[in-house]
Order: sequence, then structure tokens, then C-alpha cells
Amino acid sequence: MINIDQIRNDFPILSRKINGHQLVYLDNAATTHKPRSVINSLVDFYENHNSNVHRGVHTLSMEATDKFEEAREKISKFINSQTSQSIIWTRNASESLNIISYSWGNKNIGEGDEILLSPMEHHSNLIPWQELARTKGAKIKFLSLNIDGTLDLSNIDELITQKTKLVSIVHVSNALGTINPVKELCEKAHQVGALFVLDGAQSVPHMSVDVQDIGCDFFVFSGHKMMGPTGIGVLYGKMEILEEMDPVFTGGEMVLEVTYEKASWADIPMRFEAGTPNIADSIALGTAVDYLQNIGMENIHDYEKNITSYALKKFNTLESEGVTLFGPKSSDQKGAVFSFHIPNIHPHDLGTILDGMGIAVRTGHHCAMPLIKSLGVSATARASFYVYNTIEEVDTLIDGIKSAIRYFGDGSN
Amino acid sequence: MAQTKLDNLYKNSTILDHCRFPRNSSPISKIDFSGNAINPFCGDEVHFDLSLNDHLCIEEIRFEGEGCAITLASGSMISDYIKGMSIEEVSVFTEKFRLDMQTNSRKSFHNESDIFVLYDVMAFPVRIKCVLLACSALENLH
Repeated sequence: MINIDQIRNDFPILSRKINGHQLVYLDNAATTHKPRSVINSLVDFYENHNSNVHRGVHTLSMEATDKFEEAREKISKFINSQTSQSIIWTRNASESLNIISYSWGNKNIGEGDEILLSPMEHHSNLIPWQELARTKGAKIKFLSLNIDGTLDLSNIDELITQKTKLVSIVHVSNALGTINPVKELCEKAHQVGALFVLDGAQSVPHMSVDVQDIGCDFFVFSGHKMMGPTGIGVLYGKMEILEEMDPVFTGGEMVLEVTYEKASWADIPMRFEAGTPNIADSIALGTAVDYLQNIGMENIHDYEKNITSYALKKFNTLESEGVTLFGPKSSDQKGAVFSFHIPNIHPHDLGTILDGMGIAVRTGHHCAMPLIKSLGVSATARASFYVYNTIEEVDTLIDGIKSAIRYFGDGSN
Repeated sequence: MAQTKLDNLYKNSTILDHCRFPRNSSPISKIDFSGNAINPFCGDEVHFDLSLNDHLCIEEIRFEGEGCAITLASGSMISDYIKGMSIEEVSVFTEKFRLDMQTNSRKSFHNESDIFVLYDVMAFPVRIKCVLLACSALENLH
């Protein structure tokens, strides 16, 4: 069960007033707020344990190393990785995907090979593959989308063939909220010997994720979308695949033996962590995982599902005002992400008007330009919720939208 | 306070009128110069076509835009404002207007011109780029 008042009290920023109104923060798909424990974790590290890791025998260095590796262990358990060695620290999901593309992709993708993506990928899970395909002469194929924003798997066997070497799919769409059937897709990929990459940036903050149960070969996510700090992300990979991969960045930390002529690589995960890592933020991401697990991922998912069901009903009442909500219309298939369009009101103008009421929403293409174009609009407004949001905030959003419609409609408010 | 700022912007009849009914939107007979600009962060796009008369001043202008109310109103107002100017004068205009918007100054334009109301957008710093997209398009004339 969720104690929403207690949770909200843990987030100092939620008491802020914006333009004279209580903040209603609905931009969680872009980044989430941080509980006091995560903020304190950063302060605690710099005030009490600051030191470099893996390279000192003094007390502070050992403390920093212990905390840093403990955080890796927490992440490993959080996604049920086989071993914490499979957890590589990166800056964010984008960097994780680029590492896969540059390292695994450059070695294993060749001319005529095919990479299968969905049409709802964030640019971070599109452009690295475009670049790889361009340089290797490989081909990118896309699954089809049903009208409700779910994946059309009716032609999946025509799309996943012996030529397919990699399938990379978003777990939960940042633009539509669609929850994709990733286990099924993973099985299909493996049937033809392709690897399966899963972008969990929008799933792991909101639901229980078990990488072994899904069977994915790689899993990537960003810390800041799950109550952790910015600048820290994760690349999970199966050990047998990571061991065959070369580093993308070289330098300190990632070597076994170095001569003036050559170097040999350190074991996984350090092979992929050149230079001093982001120690404080890794540790604070571990604290964010503690916080999430303390609430319980099942509880978070159930709570947000309830918000999704309620918001879907409320958006339904706006249909008569011409408001179009994109994406699935069932809370079983959709996370708490609502992209919508209002005729004659550009999303940026709506965003400014809602901000005047203290409501923070995202406006634009949400780093999914081809998808938004395919919806027949140049931009949408997007409201995305997290576990600290309330049902009342759904009402505030809906009232805000109605108010904006009146603003542009007859000039009255 | 916030409501007043919003009202200045979105209840301003000049801005709403230009946004809903952009001026100079018909195709022109010949095109001597064109300029285009896209804001990659939001996808808004502004395009101008110009034709010059014998005195090398703008005779006809076409403005085309896709975007928010501020982007459209700004493009429409500016298309009216620069009619009759030479290309050099357009360049001086965009420089002055850009500088004003970026330095929170209201010195170059006065309330006899529609453009004056665009100064109200300075109360919303994140939206200044919407106003200046039209300037970017005119700075790209070729």
C-alpha cells in the first residue's frame, strides 16, 4: 500500500510554488524528482567519504570503493541480473546504447544484416543503429504500429528472419506510454539467433523488471528517471556477450597490463568504465533503488495503474472538446504517460498556460520525431506521472486543459 | 502576476489575430530571396520568400510557418514590418530586434508598430526563441 502523504513529504521540491500555485509536476518521463535520502546520499559522500575508487589503500578510498560496488550490487539485485559484474556504469541510457552499437555492433554487424526496431523508439534507440547501419551497409527494419499505439505483431515472422542480427525495443514508450510485449519479442529474436536489446528507461522506474525472466541480452536505463541523480546510467549485458566485446573508451581504470606499446583489458565491468567513474551519483542511484524497493515496485506499479485508469477516463471526457489522446486506452497496456493534442492550440502555448497554473508538462516531439510525425502532428503535450503524483493532480491537469481551451476559444478564462 | 503576464501574451488581440490569420501567406509572383529556419528542439519552422522591386526593396513577401502562437504571430508581424526594406535594412532590423529580445530591452521599436507587443514575450524567457525564429529565417536569406 502507498502512503502518498508520507512519500510526498520525502520530496522537498514538491512543496515549491510555481507562479503562485502549488507545483503539479507531470514531466516525470523527462526526469523525476529526488527524495531527501538521495540528496543526502550525495552530500554524505562528499562530506564524509569522498575519494577515488579502486586505487587507494587509505580508509577513504576503501570506503568509497565499498559504497560504489555496493551500489552496483543493489542495481544488480534490483533487475535480477545473474551477477553484479554485468552492471556497467554509464552516463545514461543513450550512452549505454551507443556502447552496444559501437562495441558489439561494429564487431558483429555486417553488410546486408538487419536490425529490427519499433516505430516508437526514442532517438537514443534509433540513431546509434542508423549510424551503425550506415557505416556497415546493414539495414534497419521497423515493426508496424496499430492505430491504438500498440505494436502490430501480425507480420513479426516476416520481419524477424535469419538476416536479423539484433532487435532493439523500448520497454515502455516515453511518448505513448505503450507497454510492449518484450518477452515475446525477445523469444522471437532468439529463435533466429539475434540479440535482444531492451531500453528500460521508462519501465524500470515504474515496474518490477527481471532481466533473466525477460531473457534480454542487454538492458539499459538512466538513473535520473528513477529518482536518482542525473549523469548516471546503467548498461546490463549477459556476461558471455560482454566478455567478447572490446572497450569503446580507453584509458585509466579499464586495463589489466600496460606497456609503452600496448595494453590488455581489465575484466568486465571495468573494461567499459575508463577513467574515474561517477562515484557519488552511482552511490546515490543505489540509494534511489533502496527508496523504490522500500515502497515496493509492485505497489508503485499498482498505484500508477490506478492513476492511469482514472486519467484515461478523464481524458475521455475531453474528447467532446476535440482533445486527442495518443496511445493505448487501457491501463494494462499503458504506463502513466499521456500525450495529447488540442486543435488550434499549439502544445508550446498550452505548456506556457499550464505553467502559469503551476502545472509542468512536456511539449514537443519527446525525442521521438518520426513517431510524432506519423501521428499527424508536429508536437504533442505530454503529462507523465510518478508515484508521488496524486489522483487530485489528474483533476488539476484536466481543469488546466479546459481552462486553456477557454483561453484560446473565446478569450475568457 | 503570472496571470497578468499570461494575459498580456495570450489575450493580446494583436498576437492572437496574427497567429490565427497570418499576414502575407499567399504565394508571390517571383522569388528573389528565400530564408528558412527550424527550431530543432520543438520542430517549429518559419519560411520567407521575398521579391525585390527595381530599387532593390522588398515588393512582395510570403510568410509560411508551422508552430506555436508566438512563432506564427512573430513571423506574420515581421513579414508586414519589413515590407519595403532593402536586404541590408532587413539585416539591420533582425540584429536590433534580436539584441533587444536577448537583453530585455524595449528601445528599438515603439507602440506604433505591431512588433512592439512581441516585447511582452520577454516575460517568458524560454519562449524568446519562438519570437526569434523568424529573425533566424531572415538571417538565412539566400
